[in-house]
Amino acid sequence: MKDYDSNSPKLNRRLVLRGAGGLMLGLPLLEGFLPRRAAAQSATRSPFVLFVVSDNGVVQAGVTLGGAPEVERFWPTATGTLTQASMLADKPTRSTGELADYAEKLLIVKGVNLPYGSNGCSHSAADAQILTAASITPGSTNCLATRESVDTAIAKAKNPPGRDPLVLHAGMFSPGGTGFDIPGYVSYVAPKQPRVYIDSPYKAYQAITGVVGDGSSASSADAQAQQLRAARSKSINDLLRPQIKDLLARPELSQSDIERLNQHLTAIRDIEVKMSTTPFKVPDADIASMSKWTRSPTIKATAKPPFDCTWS
Amino acid sequence: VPFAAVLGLSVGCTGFVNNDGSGPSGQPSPTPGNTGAAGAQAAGGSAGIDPYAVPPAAPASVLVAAPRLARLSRQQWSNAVRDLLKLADISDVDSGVAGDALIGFDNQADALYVTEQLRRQLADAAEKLADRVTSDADALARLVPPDAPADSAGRARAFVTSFGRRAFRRPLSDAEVSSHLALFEQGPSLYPNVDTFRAGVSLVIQALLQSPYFLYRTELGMGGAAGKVPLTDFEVSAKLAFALTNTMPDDELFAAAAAGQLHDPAGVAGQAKRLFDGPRGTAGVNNFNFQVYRLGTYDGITRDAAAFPEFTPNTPAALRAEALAFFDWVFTQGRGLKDFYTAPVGFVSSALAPLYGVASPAGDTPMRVELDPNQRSGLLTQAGFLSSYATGNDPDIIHRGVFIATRLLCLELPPPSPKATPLIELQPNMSNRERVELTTGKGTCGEACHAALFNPLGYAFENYDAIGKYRTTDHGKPVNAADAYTLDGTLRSFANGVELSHLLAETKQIHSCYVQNMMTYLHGRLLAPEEQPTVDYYARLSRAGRISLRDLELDIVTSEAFLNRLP
Repeated sequence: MKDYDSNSPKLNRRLVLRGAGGLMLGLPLLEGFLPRRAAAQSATRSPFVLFVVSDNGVVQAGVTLGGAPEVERFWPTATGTLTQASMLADKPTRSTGELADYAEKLLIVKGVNLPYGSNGCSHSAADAQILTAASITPGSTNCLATRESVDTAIAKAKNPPGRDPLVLHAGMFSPGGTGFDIPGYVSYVAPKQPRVYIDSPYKAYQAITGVVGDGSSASSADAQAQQLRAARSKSINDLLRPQIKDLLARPELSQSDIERLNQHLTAIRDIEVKMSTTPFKVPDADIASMSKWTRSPTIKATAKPPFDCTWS
Repeated sequence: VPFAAVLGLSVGCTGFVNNDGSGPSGQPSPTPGNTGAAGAQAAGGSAGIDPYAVPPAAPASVLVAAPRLARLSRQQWSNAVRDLLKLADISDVDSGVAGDALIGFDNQADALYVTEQLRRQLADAAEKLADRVTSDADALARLVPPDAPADSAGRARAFVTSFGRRAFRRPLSDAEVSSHLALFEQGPSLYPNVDTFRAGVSLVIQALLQSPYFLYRTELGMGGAAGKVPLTDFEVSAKLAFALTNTMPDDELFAAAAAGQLHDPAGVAGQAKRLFDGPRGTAGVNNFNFQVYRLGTYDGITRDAAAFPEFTPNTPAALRAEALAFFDWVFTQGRGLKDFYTAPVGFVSSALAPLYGVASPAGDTPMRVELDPNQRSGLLTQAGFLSSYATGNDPDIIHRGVFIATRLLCLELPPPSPKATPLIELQPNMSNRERVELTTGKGTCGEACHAALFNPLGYAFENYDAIGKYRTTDHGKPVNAADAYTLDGTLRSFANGVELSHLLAETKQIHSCYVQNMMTYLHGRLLAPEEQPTVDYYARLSRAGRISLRDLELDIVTSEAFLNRLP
């Protein structure tokens, strides 16, 4: 990716994705991640917000692993305003120092330690609270946040309609649960409705940029094909919407049925025809690198500290 | 101690805030609270009443509030698309559709949504699948009725009527046929330079695959009787097919619905038995067991090749295949839940033979092998469960115990203590059990929780190493797998995992938990408290060895609660 981003002092995407091994990334605003050349026609880069969440994922003082207390290697040395200078000074001993270039845009929060308590869901209880600041559903076999998460709220306020936050879960993932067997979710579409993870950095990258391998410039034939595809989408959706509305009108439905159907109806959107004319190519090595991080037990071999403490 | 770290990269609210690890003031800190629901889950009954006695008849069926729309689960969608389009394999398209974010079974109607992301993926999948079918003359021919008229209009109507009926799992109304024919007729303009029929078929397939009548199974019923509304025959056929075979109804089930044969339990039972004996007769129950016993975790098991040379990259798939073959065997042999925990049977392929110390069969097909009953006793002594709960080199005593407590006994465990510490390092001449006992056993902060609620269940399986091989020594010391645990309200002692497995099989708790889970899965919703007597009845039957898994499933899908809804 460096070939089209090497001049950018901005956050290096590869670094972010690599650092996110075993983490969940929420990306409500995505244009900022577009490759520089692809976004070159835009006078200003759109803002974005990125949350990186990791269960027990930092090497910090106060944690004892392997029988010995950990040495602090993550948090800034002092609370208060972050500056590039202070973070650079921390860099030799603190991982967060790597983000010194973004000091003025960073908010680092420590000690968010199960503010609403755990209920036996262990890590999952923390996941449910961390971006929702909400209590969790009762019962040790149920661990869902009772409010939407902050990435959803931001996306609703700032994104164009229909553009949801992306949540990447990269790293080791245990199907069916973690810790006490309850899967952990950080992003919530609505109360008690977790958002589905994208399970591979490459899929996330595709979703962000729309790039599939060798991106190429749009020809007139491509444009016509896209127009036809949009027309087909519209014709089909024109058939689907009345079907959902007919179903919604059925008196037999429960409130839950209606809410789910309404969400479906809201999700039906015609294809927007927005053709990119800017060619760029994602190097094969980068695609291979991102693809191999599809969540798997082997992620421990590729994730780097401080994010190598993944699900267990 | 679980916690999460969060980094926010944004504008306007910046800096570094440290509250020293404490929560917001006024919020209670998590504490090791009660000791779980062991007592509540005990055999129950007042003094003098036999907690294991089986009543002469099942309690009256109770109808409870339930969703009237159930989106197909991720797997049901995949299977239904494959069967609807009569394709052998759709894995390339299937991989582009995400799963669901769920806690619980994969078919809980209340938790299945069509989100923006999923809607987009389903539209892409529909387009690719329609392209594939209409680009392949043979595939297209399979979807057009052989007796379709030759004229284009008649052929289009025949296709819409026939294929639409299978997609909606009920006949289309005249208005629905008309609206889809109208879409069909847009083919030439929306697919220029494509054969008119193929273009129309492609559009109709895409629309039907995205229709709510394909994506959701309905339980609207057909008006009705006092106190209950019978589901329509076609609703019953879909509910039955997805519950038992995890896919759409087959032709015979459609025919039975069309003939009005699914109004009464006898007709449904006949179809259920036919499905049980068919090629997908165990697909539903295997999907259920797959989730209960967490077979999905087997794929992620890796072991250090130097320490465990018998555990190869092929082993996880073999472990999964063994468990599925075992489920199949219990089900098709008419056996019951007790056999899950007592049958000294393995289904061994060449990859697993070294783990069980038996002669290696040729190939990857699991072959049934009688194992030493002093060493093996059902699922909990199979290498899959044992390997899935192990760290790199040692058995994971704690999580083996937690799995049995939560998944098999349906116990609710209290949250971990904030004072909990990681396990101490193994020292020379220290066994795996001693390590766990020193960290979480008696005299530690884990005494009330670990030592009482799940560690003993894990100790029982210390005769099996991190890949499920039988062992008598651990780190140079004799294995101690003995302990005691409260089952059905009584403290029961056991010498090892085989003894514990037999005790569990005689425990009402484990039967209640399984019946409750199976009813939850087959109904596709959480159970209501009013259904507890039904759970209790079948738990007693199952514990007494008087009902097979097959008959348990049959009874549930022919019950009033399955075939009717609350008005």
